[in-house]
Amino acid sequence: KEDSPETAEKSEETKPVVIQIGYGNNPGEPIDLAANEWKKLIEERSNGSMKVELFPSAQLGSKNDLIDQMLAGDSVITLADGAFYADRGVKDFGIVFGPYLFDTWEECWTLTESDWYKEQSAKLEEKGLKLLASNWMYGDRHTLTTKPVKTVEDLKGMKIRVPNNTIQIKGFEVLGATPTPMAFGEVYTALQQGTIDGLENPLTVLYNGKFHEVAKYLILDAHVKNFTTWIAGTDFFNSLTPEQQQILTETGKEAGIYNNEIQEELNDEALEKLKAEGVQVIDINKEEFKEKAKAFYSLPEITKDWSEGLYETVKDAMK
Amino acid sequence: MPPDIIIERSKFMNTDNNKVFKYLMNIDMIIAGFALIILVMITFFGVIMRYFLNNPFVWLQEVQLWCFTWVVFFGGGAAFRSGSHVAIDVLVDHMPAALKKIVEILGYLVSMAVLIYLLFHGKNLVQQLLQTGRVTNILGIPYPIIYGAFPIGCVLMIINYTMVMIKELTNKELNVEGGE
Amino acid sequence: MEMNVVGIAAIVMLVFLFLKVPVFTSVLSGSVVYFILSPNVPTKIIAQRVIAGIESIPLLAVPFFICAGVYMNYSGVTKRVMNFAEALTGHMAGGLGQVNVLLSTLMGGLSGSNLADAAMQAKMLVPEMERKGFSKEFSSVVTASSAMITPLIPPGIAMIIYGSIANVSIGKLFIAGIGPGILLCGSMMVLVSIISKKRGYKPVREKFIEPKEFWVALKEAALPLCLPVIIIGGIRLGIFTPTEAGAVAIVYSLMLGIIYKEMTFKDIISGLKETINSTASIMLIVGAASAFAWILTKERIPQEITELIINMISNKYVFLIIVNIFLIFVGMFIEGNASMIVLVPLLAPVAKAYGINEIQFAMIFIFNSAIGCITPPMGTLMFVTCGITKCKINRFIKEALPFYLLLFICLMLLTFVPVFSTGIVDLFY
Ligand code: NA
Ligand code: NA
Repeated sequence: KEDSPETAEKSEETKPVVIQIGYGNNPGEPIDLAANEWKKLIEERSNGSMKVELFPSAQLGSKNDLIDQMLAGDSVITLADGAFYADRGVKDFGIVFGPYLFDTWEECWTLTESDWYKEQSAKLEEKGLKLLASNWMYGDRHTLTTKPVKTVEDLKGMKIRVPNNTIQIKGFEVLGATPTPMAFGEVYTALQQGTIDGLENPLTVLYNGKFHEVAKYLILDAHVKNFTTWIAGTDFFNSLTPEQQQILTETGKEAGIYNNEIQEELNDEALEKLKAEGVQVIDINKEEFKEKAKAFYSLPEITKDWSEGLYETVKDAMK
Repeated sequence: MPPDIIIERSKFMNTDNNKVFKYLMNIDMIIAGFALIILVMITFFGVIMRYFLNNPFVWLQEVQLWCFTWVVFFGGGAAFRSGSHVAIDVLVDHMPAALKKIVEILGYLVSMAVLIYLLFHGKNLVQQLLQTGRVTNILGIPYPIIYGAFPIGCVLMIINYTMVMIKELTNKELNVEGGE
Repeated sequence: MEMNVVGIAAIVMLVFLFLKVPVFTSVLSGSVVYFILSPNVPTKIIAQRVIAGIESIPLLAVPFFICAGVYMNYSGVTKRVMNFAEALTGHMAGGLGQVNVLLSTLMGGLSGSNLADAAMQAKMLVPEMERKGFSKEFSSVVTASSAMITPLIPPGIAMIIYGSIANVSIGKLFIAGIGPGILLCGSMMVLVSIISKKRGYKPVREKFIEPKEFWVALKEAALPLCLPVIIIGGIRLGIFTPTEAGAVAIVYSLMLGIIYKEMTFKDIISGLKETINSTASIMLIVGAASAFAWILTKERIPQEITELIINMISNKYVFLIIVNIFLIFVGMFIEGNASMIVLVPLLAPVAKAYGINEIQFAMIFIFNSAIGCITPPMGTLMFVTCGITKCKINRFIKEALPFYLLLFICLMLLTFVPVFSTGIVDLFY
């Protein structure tokens, strides 16, 4: 029978590619809303040749689990950022999580469009990870504490929970605090019982985790401008048709723009809600924090892994 | 290691060798034991460092999880020797002896198939981690070292389950011959 | 198509489970079938999911409290505490059974982990209960089912997860848990008393002990009784987390072992061995179960059934009944916290739309997923307890029947009488 290969091809065409997108944020957080928007865009634009399933709240596993899964060839996409890529062997990428590297979001977006960033993306691709979109704002990372912090000196000796990576640990250490890595799920009780004195994250995450019920003081220090990225396994990405690849990256960018709009809106909303629920926002002199954070970029433990003059290169690239 | 097998072998060895052999057969337990001791110690001293000296071990979590993984997978084989693995015997208890034995052998074969499958894919996972060079965030411990316990654990469980099975079958045959 | 694959995997798992294949390999056999029949899913992931299910900081409580329990036995701590507990409860029917329930409730104020509580009491209390004439099965069932109380009394991991996913105040959820916790504690003590009377687990003596004897027992138990004080104090003062408390308890019981001179180096080594054997067998089941739960999630099985339910129902009470049945069923296969992460975002908004109080619904949800822990086929609490006490699973299930009934009655009370969940919250807020 001559026509059988053709029908086989046809049936393969009609069977949509299923892409699973996993992230740690909970339903209703800006990232989740924007991921829903992304799903909508992909499914519309691909005329049903691509189907997207969303898995919020780390249902499919942690970021690291998902990265291992995509390296094994699974058709998953996840949210990850510079600090993760540094731990996956692209050391220079970690600098984007350095304290006070960016002054404005514009600088972030200039950097993600720069040649330096393209180089880093290429290195990541060699490691089997394909960056799909880098224009997603995750938010300014602020600090919520159980005791008031009025000056950077007050941070001295305070145990602040940070994610488990060297960049963020050292980034907080230079401010004088005692960075304490801890599983996110244990943070609420640890704050309540005083095992730690604070944590840092974007406002929407702080509000959604209900940490303000047990920690009442907030400083808007914005120590990291956290943009985030979506990645997929290179093998999976290459298995898509060029058209599908284009749809994926294009819509990723568009959903990113949508994300950034609602991020600002929802961040303001979260701040209002935090205040309304009894959180005291303390005015700080941010310059003081910035000044102290500068030491980070000359710490030998940090710079030993970096390329020569990385700080200057990146600073130039974001202008 | 069933003790009677050790005794039988010891007839052919001098006592020194026997001791070495005994340690060798318990090496999984020894490794798991050290992992457990380290786990308890770093957790305890981690508390002291964080609360009293305000200088927490930032690497605590990753070493805790490393030790934990090793305790579980190096201990998995040993748990067969001590009969610690749980099974549901609701139905099997009502079966006649002959059928029981068949079911038992079936269970063994199923477990072997599962463990061999896991061994193979666990090994692949470790290879992937080797290729991509994944290390822990703070201390940079290569993940193949941590997760390597998984395929090793599968091998240990295969060996131990097999030995327990052999022992059980031969014992039962002896019993039958004894006119039970 | 995928649903068929998962169906076949589940059947294979269940068949082997009931054919006395070790629990962890039978659960894994289901996952193996899935991975073989799903060519699109890379097979290495099976290994990763088993490991990921084990690698969790709160689960460290399992080896810690098993080890602490073992050393308390060896060092003479358990003996002294039990003598004291008996002095207090010897005049009650089924005294140590009551102690078992009460202890879980008190431990609830410290720890959020039911597994840790079951592990500790299976190791410490059950041998003592057997010595006092309770059957192994009864002791195991009381231990496993009373461990359900621990996460209900604040703090509890389930409340934290629920609160952050469903956007409900965790503080309120914590307080709300006290109601069902006390309800369960009280009714379980009554049940223990009824069964004990029927079985003739007689009180050791007629009335409360003589003051003089009481003081002797108290003096003997003084140092061991400092342990709960140290643990409570340490957690409340923020010196250590409930997980770390296990490591502190190990060190403390080793110290007492030295003081009492009842512990030898050989005991220390056999304690390590016992801990490793129990930890490995329990955690391999937890890892296997979490790999299977991952498959269900990835194939969106719970999500699709939920959508089906939501589309079918139009009445608040029908909704509550169906949700209860569904959650008990899910709880039998998926560990409570994992099912919560998947199902809360789907079900909580619907419950809200029906006008069900969000705190009450949270309690129904948390209570339901707790029940699954002591039922076959994948009751983690049941496996932990039986793994330690070496109780046969079928005897356990048979003995647990009145407790299942009790839990069902409590669940119905929670479902249809909101005040059990919201009463105390309203008092505080
Ligand atoms: Na609790
Ligand atoms: Na109990």
